[in-house]
Amino acid sequence: MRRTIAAVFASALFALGGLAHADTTLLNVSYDPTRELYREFNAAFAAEWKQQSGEDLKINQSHGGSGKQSRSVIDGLEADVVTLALAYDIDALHEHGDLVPADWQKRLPDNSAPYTSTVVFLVRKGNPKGIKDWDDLVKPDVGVITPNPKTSGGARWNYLAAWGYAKKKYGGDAAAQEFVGKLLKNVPVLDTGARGATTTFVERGQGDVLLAWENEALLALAEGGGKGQFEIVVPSISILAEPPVTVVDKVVDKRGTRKVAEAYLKYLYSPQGQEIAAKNHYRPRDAAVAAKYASTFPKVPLFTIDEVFGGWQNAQKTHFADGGTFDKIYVPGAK
Amino acid sequence: MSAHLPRKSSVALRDPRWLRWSLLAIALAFVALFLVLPLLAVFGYAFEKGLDVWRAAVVDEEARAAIRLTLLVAAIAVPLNTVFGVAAAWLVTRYSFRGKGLLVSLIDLPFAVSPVIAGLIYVLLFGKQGWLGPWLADHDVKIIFAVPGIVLATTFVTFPFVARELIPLMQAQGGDEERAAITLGASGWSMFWRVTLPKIGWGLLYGVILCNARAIGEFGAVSVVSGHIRGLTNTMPLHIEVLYNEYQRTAAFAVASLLALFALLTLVLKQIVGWRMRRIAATEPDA
Amino acid sequence: MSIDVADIHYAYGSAPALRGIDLSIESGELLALLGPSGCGKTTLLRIVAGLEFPQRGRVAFNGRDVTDVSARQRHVGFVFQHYALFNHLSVFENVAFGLRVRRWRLRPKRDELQRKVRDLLDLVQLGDFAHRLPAQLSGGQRQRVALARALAVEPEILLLDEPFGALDARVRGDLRRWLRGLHDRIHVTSVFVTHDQEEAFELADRIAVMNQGRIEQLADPQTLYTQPASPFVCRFLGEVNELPVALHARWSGHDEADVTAFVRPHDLDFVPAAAGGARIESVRDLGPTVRIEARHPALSAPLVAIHERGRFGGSGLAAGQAVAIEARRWVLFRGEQAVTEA
Repeated sequence: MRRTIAAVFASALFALGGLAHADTTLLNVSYDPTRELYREFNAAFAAEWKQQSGEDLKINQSHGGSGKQSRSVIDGLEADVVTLALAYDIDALHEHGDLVPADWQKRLPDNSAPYTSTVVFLVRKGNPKGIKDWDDLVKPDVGVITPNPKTSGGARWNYLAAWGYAKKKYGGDAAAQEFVGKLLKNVPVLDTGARGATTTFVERGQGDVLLAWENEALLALAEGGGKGQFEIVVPSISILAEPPVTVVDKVVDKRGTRKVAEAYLKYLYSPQGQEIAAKNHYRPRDAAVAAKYASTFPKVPLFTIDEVFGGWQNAQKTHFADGGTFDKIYVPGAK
Repeated sequence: MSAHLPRKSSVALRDPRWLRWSLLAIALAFVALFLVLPLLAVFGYAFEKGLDVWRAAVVDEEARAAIRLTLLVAAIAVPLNTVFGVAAAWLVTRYSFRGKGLLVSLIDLPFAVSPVIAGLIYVLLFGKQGWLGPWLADHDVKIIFAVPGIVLATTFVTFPFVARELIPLMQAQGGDEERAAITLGASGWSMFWRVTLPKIGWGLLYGVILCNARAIGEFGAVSVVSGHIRGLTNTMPLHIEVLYNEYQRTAAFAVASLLALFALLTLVLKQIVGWRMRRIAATEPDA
Repeated sequence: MSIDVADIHYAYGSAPALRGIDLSIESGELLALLGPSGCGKTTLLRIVAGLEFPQRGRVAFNGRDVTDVSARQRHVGFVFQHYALFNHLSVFENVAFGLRVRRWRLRPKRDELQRKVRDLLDLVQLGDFAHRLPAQLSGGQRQRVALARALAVEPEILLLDEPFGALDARVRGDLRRWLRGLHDRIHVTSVFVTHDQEEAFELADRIAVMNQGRIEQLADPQTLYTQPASPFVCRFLGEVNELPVALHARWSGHDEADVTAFVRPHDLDFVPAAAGGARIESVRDLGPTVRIEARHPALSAPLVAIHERGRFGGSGLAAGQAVAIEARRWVLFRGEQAVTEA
């Protein structure tokens, strides 16, 4: 009996190990909203790679909250590439375990962000509460759905977008803090992740407006049982989200997959890759593709993290670290 | 949760009728609301778009990988815990030693600890930044974010079931039959197979059924150590979460219906075994 | 096979159970360990069996030291108070167990095994029950199966732990006599534990009376009854009247206050006498005997005399009558020490 157990155990280990060495495999550790994007992209790239090099390529995907995924990679999840929500989460890979070099972001064009997105509002069909802009979010009878900035990368974008708007409009951080505080009071529940918040709004019908990444909102419109049930409202100004990608040097060097990993990421910038991104509701960098999808992605003035907050490190420290502005403003359940 | 029932009490016969009926009504309402309704919902949503969609969701490649992984993990964790459980129960009921109380408490530890913490323990131990991380990395052994980690986490979480079922049973049975076997010349091993195992057989089966059910349904601990690599390290519960978050509600419930079916099967088996055990206890020669 | 037990000490944790036991049992003897609950008799039996190991002391079989030998190797047959039958096996399989678990080479072949088991079942008069399960047997039948099972491995020592304790009185009596008959035929050295004095007396060649982890007296029943070594033994073996010697002139040679005469109810007489000093309190008809209780002002406990019906009828005693005490036999103790007649 014991021998059988050991045999099963050993073969399980070997099976998994074997899987890693049979064909070439890549592991892309990503964050939640990119599931559909990479499903399509991976198929396309695998075909392309097979044509180019004759090699069979299997690409595995892992999805989760951006911070959680970063943590997992640090703890040993062997990602060949990471495609996360925040540069901050990739900086952590450098800080804790030296998995990427300090200057990783400069290695690919556009700050290593082949596609961008921004924060928009998703409202119910007909926009019954008449939500047009950020100011409408702090009105007393409006329910706002947004995830928890402590656990969700997407939520931090929402938070900073609101802050940036208020700072510009009302001048100064103090005013912005007051504005964001009022906004948070209108939030009935903070989900842990962007996809969870979308589910709360779309499936469970809570709240009047969802603060979401544009790609999430577009996805919800297209597929979320929400055909004809929701509308997108683009605010007067929003934040430029640049979800970055990189190879994980330590891993690709160990596994000998650097060449294919780098080609993988480069393909994201190619016309085909950009087309796939646009089709999956991400704003492409490529001008030609952008023009093609102009109707999907309305023009809106966007500010960057660097402009308003002096970079991610600062933003994280000021707002989301323990004792930051979020902790000061948000008291759960307080009305 | 144990199969041992006390002898029928006659106190119930003295309660006023209205009390009995109200208690029954409350219990039924509770069961209906918290058990039957969700179960019906699962099957309702699962078949909402028809049998074909259901089948497609269940034979989907990632779903099948998740089912295979779930069964593999159970196939390893349950026998392991059966052996551990029997050994632990034997130790606790047949020997007296200092610290026995502590051991019994330790056996119950997985019940007291949140499954997420259980998963975290393994990450802290075997993760890259953990105690054994560097050694494991050097030897290219993958535990966390791979199948072995899932097996470990599941084994930890389901450990107490077999032991907890056997300990009171073996205590109640006493060790005289084993002593008799020894005086008759049986070796330890022989005594175990011919005397102990038949005695505890049904109790052991009961514990195994519970252990198996929990192993299949475990979510929290596995979620922490899994790495969520689609098609590789997602068990059925994890896969259901993935589907649900992708707005594939029907598919999610389709896979969930498999788990629900399994849960019903577990209940039926448990009832049968429990009934058997009570019958044996009733006809047992008086100890 | 003789058994020698020397200086055995055993404690459960910090509670001592045996405080220095020395015992020699002759080959073929049937010895009883008799004593109240907690006196250590079952512990001693288990130590002889090898189911427990003493902290100090020696156990030897036929002179061979077996103190460190496991129960499995000692070849003793053990019968438990609650039978300890294997409930999932038939009667036949229970008896055959010891033969089946033998090492491959020592295992008897099928025919031989069948014959042996059948013979044993006939010996215990359960030949027709071979295929029944223990649950289908009465208590007495189960104990007989247990005995057959123990004898199947041909042990040279048979140990029985209160073997009839779980049975009702009638069955107990029958089995007692049956066991004695069996022993007379097989002559296996046997030790059994009991708290029932009558049982010990009926069965045993010799009896070791135990109290609080020590052997108070080891002797044949007759000697125990007529020459008890201590007040404990005397009291344990049956009801006894304890009288200060001053009570009767007969004992006047032992005038010291601390000497007590122990008189059995059967040896105590009440004689009608106006100035006898005692007064009859009750006369109860117990069937074959009559129990008479009397009160003496110097004693807190009542005096008890038990007579056969016939004898009583002759003396015509009734409640309220004044009587004097007469004793036919007695034993004297000063404290724990026996005192011999001057």
